[in-house]
Parts: sequence; structure tokens; C-alpha cells
Amino acid sequence: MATNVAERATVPVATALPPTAGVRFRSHAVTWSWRAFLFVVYLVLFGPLVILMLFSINDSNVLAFPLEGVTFHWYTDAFHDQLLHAALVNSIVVACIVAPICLVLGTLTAFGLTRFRFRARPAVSGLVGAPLILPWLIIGIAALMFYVRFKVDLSLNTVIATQVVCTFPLVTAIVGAQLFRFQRVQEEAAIDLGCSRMQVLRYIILPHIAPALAASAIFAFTWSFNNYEISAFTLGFQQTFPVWVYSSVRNPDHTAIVNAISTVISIIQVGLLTVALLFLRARSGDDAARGIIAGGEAVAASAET
Amino acid sequence: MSATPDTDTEPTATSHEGEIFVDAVTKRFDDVTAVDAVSIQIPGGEFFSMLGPSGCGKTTTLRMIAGFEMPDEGRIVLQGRDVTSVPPAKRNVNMVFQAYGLFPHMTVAENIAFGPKIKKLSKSEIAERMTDVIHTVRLDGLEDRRPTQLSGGQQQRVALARALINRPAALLLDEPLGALDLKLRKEMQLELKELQQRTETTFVYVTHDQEEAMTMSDRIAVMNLGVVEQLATPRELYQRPASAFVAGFIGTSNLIDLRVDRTDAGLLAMDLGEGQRILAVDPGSGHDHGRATITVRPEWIKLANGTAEDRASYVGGTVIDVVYLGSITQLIVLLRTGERLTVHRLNDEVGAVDPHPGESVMLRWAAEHSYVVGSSVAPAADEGDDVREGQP
Amino acid sequence: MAAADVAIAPAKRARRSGSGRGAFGILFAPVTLLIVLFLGPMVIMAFMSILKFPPNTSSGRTLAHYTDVLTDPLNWKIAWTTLWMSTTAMIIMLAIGIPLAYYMVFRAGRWELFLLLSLVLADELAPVVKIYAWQVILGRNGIVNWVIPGPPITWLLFSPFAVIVTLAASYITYTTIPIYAAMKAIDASMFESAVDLGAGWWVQSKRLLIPLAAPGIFIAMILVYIPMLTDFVTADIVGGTGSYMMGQRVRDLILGSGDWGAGSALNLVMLVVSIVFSLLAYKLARLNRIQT
Repeated sequence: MATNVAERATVPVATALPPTAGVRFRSHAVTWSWRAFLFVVYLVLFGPLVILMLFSINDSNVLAFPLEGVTFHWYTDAFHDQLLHAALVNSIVVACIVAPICLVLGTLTAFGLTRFRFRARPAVSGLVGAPLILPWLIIGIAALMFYVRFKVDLSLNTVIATQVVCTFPLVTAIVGAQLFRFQRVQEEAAIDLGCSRMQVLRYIILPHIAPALAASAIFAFTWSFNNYEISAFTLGFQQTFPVWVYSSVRNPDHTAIVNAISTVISIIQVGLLTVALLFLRARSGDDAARGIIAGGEAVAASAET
Repeated sequence: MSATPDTDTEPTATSHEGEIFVDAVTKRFDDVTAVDAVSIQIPGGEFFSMLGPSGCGKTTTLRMIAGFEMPDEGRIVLQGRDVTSVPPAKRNVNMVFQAYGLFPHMTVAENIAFGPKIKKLSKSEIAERMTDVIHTVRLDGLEDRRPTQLSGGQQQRVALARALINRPAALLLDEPLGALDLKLRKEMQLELKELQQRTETTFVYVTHDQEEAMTMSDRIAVMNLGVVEQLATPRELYQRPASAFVAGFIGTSNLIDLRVDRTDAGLLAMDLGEGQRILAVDPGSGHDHGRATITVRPEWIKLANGTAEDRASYVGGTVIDVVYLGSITQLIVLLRTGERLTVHRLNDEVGAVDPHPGESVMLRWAAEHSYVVGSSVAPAADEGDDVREGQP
Repeated sequence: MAAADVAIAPAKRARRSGSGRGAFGILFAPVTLLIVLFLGPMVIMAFMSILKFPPNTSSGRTLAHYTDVLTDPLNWKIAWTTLWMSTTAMIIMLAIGIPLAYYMVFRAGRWELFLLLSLVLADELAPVVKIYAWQVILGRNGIVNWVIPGPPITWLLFSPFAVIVTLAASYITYTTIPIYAAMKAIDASMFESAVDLGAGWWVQSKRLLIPLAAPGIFIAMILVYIPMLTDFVTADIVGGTGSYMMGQRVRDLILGSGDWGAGSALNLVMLVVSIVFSLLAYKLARLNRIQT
């Protein structure tokens, strides 16, 4: 880390002396206690995942230690499970519809909120931020009552509609944060160099927000795919994957299959995310990638400030 | 001194190459008049600067020439054609922005080639111009870098190249050196001037730095509060400032409030007794028995030993501050009228002794060096709408 | 450039004036959608809560559901359980999240991105199943009891303890990242000069780190407290009778006993609490933001 020379010069002589053995010992202790801390934190974070992966190849449907030997038949069982199959297809279809709609709506909103000044702007941004802050339980219950009141049959369509409303503000938060960082002078420079409005959008603004769009797409898809609460309240007779997991996890005959399919999906997710991030990093650098990961999660932080 | 043309006269129909005519242009933002009936005529190939403090309307005027702002009144004529309502892209002028506005997702080469590509020039034409312009701005070897990997000076050059490759009739520069440090700024000033001469392009340069404007410009428009205070060559601005504002803005200047006790032999005079007096050349009518503001440059004021010529001011005072600045020594002298004068002595003699603070000195300067910039009787104006009482 | 080329139709008048209309055009679809599918349901829910026998709209109006809900001692007991468990979890998360964020920003160096990414992944991967895995860890025949000798410890699972641990493990990502973002805005040299001036770690944290990270901490509380207060999945899977939470209560009223009146009234009370809480935390976050 670069230290300001002038600042260093004002340091009292005593602290500017070379580190003594005691100091060196202390800094070692500090380093190791940080490592221990990180180890515990990541053990807690990923331990459960490791456990379900272990049990997905354990030759017993009783989830208890010690393990009983390696098997892959939970994976073949999972592959042949009709209900699981249907639930997975439903979830993928829903996410594939929700994500693009959210991308369009969220980006439009981000443009509207960052590039225009109008009187209703605080009200609109509050309205857009609300679904991110309010819990899905409340939204889900309200949606259920709404659909029942207006005699809309509960189905995947109602799930999609409510998920869209809860998810596109996330896209707005991510894309809006990126648009906010856009230097408007680039736009003027492009116009000065002969661009039409559409060309500015295509050659200057879109490349700028491309990483944010990619991140938004990933997050919107994941949110939709993982969402249990909204599905639980607005779903008809079909199941989505999280709903299937929720009911299967409490059925002892099914837990091993749940472990198997969760392992597969987690591995696919990690793979896709890693590829996407490496791509982003190669294209836009470390900072962009970091900003996007943080931006994706600190939704309210960026949406509200 | 002022370039305010008769607005009825169209620019002559011969060669309009690079010529810019700002014709009585007014721009208001809500209630604020940012630019107030400004007229400027810039011949092709000139290095022209608009100089003034922030909020004086210089950038707004530049943006109206570029087409980013629409004038509320008046018109913009580029190369003999009225472009007042022509969009920026179709004006054949290019702008260099203070913040550069480089495209971070493109390489240097892609940034530079952007304009020609949008205008659908042929590949070979773009390549040819590219080689040319990269060489001109000395960016050879950096074509594949990204703007973020460049230093401030290099980014500045990319911005220049990106504009120049379009072969614009005029290049508009909005404080382009503002983001650079002092040393680099000095280097770039010389480079810009040289670039302008080599490309024979009209440069319209906006800055608040008088030294920068003086270094580079053929002519300068000093602006304040939305109007042109004076439009002249750097030398003329310095020696014959049209207003107290200009005198104060360009270089160091002493402003003296002159009580006109008598006028004789073409001189205004203020008598201070004991043969001491302050003289100024009478610029015209209407100054007798009134007051006038005069300006004197510090380097014209000399220390007198006992006497002075007839046509020279001659006044005593007390030295209150002495600052040795290397090539010059700066004295602050408190006059008996209560005014403070800054005096510059050139240190061109070995062993010359500067006066000490507290010492009494006599000062003298030629009447020709007291330049009248205004008075309470009538504005010292030959073209009245251009000159205003300025705020020092 | 040819003359004909330039003499094009006049440029549109300053965009400024048409800006309101532009915003309207661009925001029309998303805002309409939010009004119909987000505000609409909220209004309907409020409407249901004042019907005598919801969803029967002709049954007459009443405020009885609210008085019932607010005077039912069971609800207060559940609210209390929810509050203390969430608060305990929140304290644990802050105790972990603040140092973790500090480490990522100031000490991790090139591992920063990796740590951040894994933190996000930990949240996104296999959400429901991961909670279930805590059964395996904390259960009678679970890992903890397998490792610790002696008779199995029974209060580990299906207890408030299990719920608190699992909540803390589930929401740690949402706690850490806003704090991380707030700390990211801090100039690292500030700590160096503090160390130069002889400040110990405690003084550093108390006087510098915590105040500077305060806006992030308040945002984290919005992001974490509200979902925890309405969480029902965690308590369903690892909780027991002693850890019955508000989220479960509302869900059971609506889906279990079909009591829409009490359910919607309780839900609205929670909605109001959520809004008041987030506005308060947001105010505090703004107040504590260092102007840079």
C-alpha cells in the first residue's frame, strides 16, 4: 500500500522504528486469528452444502453419520422421478419467462428514473423499491387474495405475474446503479461525432450497461428459480422446484433424491456463474465484476440511495 | 478593438473555410441570461479563445457553436451557412470536452475511428486518416490500449485525435487542459498551439486561465456576465484593457481612482501637491471635473530619484512589502491617497538593492502607461455596447 | 461536407421541455404493472381485513379482526418469540458480518473478489435444502452429537437455538454486503494514519470503522430484519413448538385454517411494522452517511 511520504514524516520516531520481535509475533497471531475466523464463517456457509452433497452419494436414506458407502442410485432415482421432472420444467419455464420480462421492464425503469427529472420521481422510485424491501410472504398473501377476489385461476401464470413484479425492481437497482455511473459527456461526445440517438444507445450506452444487464439476467433468473414464498401462495395444482423440494424434504423417502438433484443444480449454478463472472471480468475488469456482485445483492442500498 | 460587426452585413462570399460567425446570440436558462447578445466573428484558421470566470457564458457560447444548445435569439453561421437549427452531428465542427468523454469500452484506435465509422467512411480512408492523426498527436504505439490505461496527457491527445480525424472546419475546446497538472498543462499549451498551426484549423478555445489564453491565442474574447468585455489580441488586452474587469483579469494590474483636477496638453491630471501628480492620456471628451479609473501595469512603474519628466506621473509612498521573486522583485507601495500599488522591478543588475519595508519612495511612470478604463462621467467607449463597467 | 447535407430539418427543441413526457412513456408499463399487481393486491388485502367474513364481499364491514388480532395473547407471545430470536440472530450476524466485511475491504487483497463471490453463491445455492442440512448437523444423530461424546444433546434441533443458528447462517450474505459496500467507500489511508497515531484496534473500530460503516449496517438491518420477522421456512424445518414464528402464524391462518380476516389483519400489521421499520432504518442510514 502506498504511503504518503509527507504523512510518514510526521510519525513519531518511536513508531517508525523497525518492528521488534514482539510486534512480529503479534502480527502473526493476528493473521492466524483472521484465518481461523474466515474458516469458521465459510464452514458455516458451505458446510450444509457439503453435507447434502455427501448424503447424495450415501448408500442409505437415513441422514445420519456415519456414512454407509457410496452409491449413485439417488441420482438415477431423481432422473426418473416424474413429479420432480415436472417441477423442474415448470421452474425453468417460469424463470425463462420472468427473467427476460424483468430485464426489459427493469432497464426501462432504470432509464426513466436516472435520466429524467419529473415531479412524481420520488413516488415512482419508492413504488419500485417497495417490492425489494417488503417480504415475499406479505406480497404472496396479498397476491393470493387479489387473484381470488378477481377470480383469476391460480396457475403458473399467476406465479409469473407476481414474480415479475417482485423481481424487475432488482434489475432496476443493478442497471440503475450502472447508468448512474455513466459519464454523460460520453453521450455528447458521441453526438458530436455524428451519432443519432439510436446510435448513441447502441454504441455507447448499451456497452456501458452490458455487464449490469448480464448480472441482472443471472440474478433475475436465480431469484425466480429459487423463489419459494410467492410460488407457495400463488400456485395452482402444479409444482415449482422449490415447492417440490419443500414438500419432499420432509418426506424421509425423498430426502436423498432432494440431495442428489440439489447437488446437480448447485454445480450447474456455480459453473454458469463462474463462467459469466470470468467473462465479465475479462471484458470490464475487476471493479466492474465486484461492483456487479455487490450491486446485485445490496439491492436496497443502491435502489434507495 | 471590438469585433462587433454590423449585423446587417453578411460575411463576404469569398472563402469561408473555417469561419465562424456568432451573430447577436442570446441564451437564457430560466430567468438567468447566460449569454447576452454576444457577437463574435472568427476568421478561418484562427486560434480564438473565450476567456472569463465561471458563469461568464463562455462555455454556453461554445456549446451553441457546437449545437448542444439552441440560442434563444440570434444565429450561428458556420462557413457562411446559417446552422442555428442544425444538429451537432451535421455541423462539421468537433468538440473536445473538459472531461474528455472517451469511450472506456473501446481501444484508443476504436475511439479515434469512431467518428469516421459513424459517418461510414471507407476502411482505407479511415486507416489513412488514422495513421495521419495518430502521428500528429504523437500517440504512436498506444493504439490498442484502453483509455483507462493512459495518462491524463495521453487521454487528452486521444480526445484531440478523435475530433481531428473528422477534419472539422473548426475544433471547439472546452477547458481541455483543466484536468491536467500544471507542468503537463504548460507542455500541452505549446503542443496545442503548434497543432493548430500545423493543421490550419480554426480553434475555439474556452478557458478561465488567462495565462493559457495569452500563450496560445491569436485573439481573445474576455467575457463577463454573459457579454464580451473586450475582444482583442493578447498584446492589446494587456496594454489597453477596455475595462477595469479586463485589466484585473489579465495579468496583475493597479487600478487607481483618478480625480480629474485639470486637463491640459491631452492629459488628465490629479494634483497631489508638492509637485506630485498622477497623469493619464485623455482618451476623449468628457473627463474634466469628473473622475476616471486608470490602470497601470506594475512593470511600468519605476522608482524615481528626485525628479520625473513632465509627461510622467510622480507620486510618493511607503513601501509596505517586498517580495523577491527571482527575475523580478515585487514591491507593495502605499500611496498617500490610501491606494496600494504593486510595483515590479526587473532584477537585471547584479548588486541592485531593493528598498526595505517602511522606506519612503518616489514612483514615476509615463502618462501613456496610465490607461483610462472608465470614469463616472461617461463610459470610455468607442463602441459602447461592448464595454461595461466591470467588477474588479 | 456538402451544403445539402447540412441543411437538414431543424433540430428538435430542447429536450428539457419534453422530458416529463419521455419519462411517462418509458415508465408507463412498469409503473402500471406495479400499481395493478403490487399495490392492487395490497389494497385488496386491506379490503379483506375489514370484511366480516372474507372473501365474501357482501358480509359487511368490521374492524373486529384487528382488535382480535391485537388482543390475542397468543399473537403477542409469537411476536415476542419472533423478535428475540431475530434480534439474537441479527446480533450474531453483525458480529460476524462487520469483521468479515472489514477483512474483504482492507485485508483480503486479491482474494476480495473470490470471497465476495462465494458469499453471494452461499446465498443463492439450494436455498431450502440448505436449511434442511442443518437438521443433519444439529439432529439427534447429527454431526454435532456424533462429534461430541456423551448422551445426545436434544435442544440442538427443533428449538429456538436451531432457528437462530440457521437464520444467522441464511442471512449472513445480506448482512455483510451492504456493510462491505459502505466500507468500500472508506479511504484505507484513514486507518493507516490512525495506526500511525497509535490507535489500537478497539479505538479504530469504535471511533472509525463502526461510524463509517453505520449506513451499511442500517441498510443491512432493513434487508435482514424484515425478512426474518416474516420467515416461515426456517422455523418450519428446524424449529419446534417453542420457536413458532410470526411468518408461520400468518401462513397457517391463511393456508391452514383459511381465516382470511385474522390473516390479512395480521399481515397488514406486519406490513405497517415493516414500512415503519425500514423508513426509520433508512433515515438513520442517511443521517449516518459521511458526505464525501
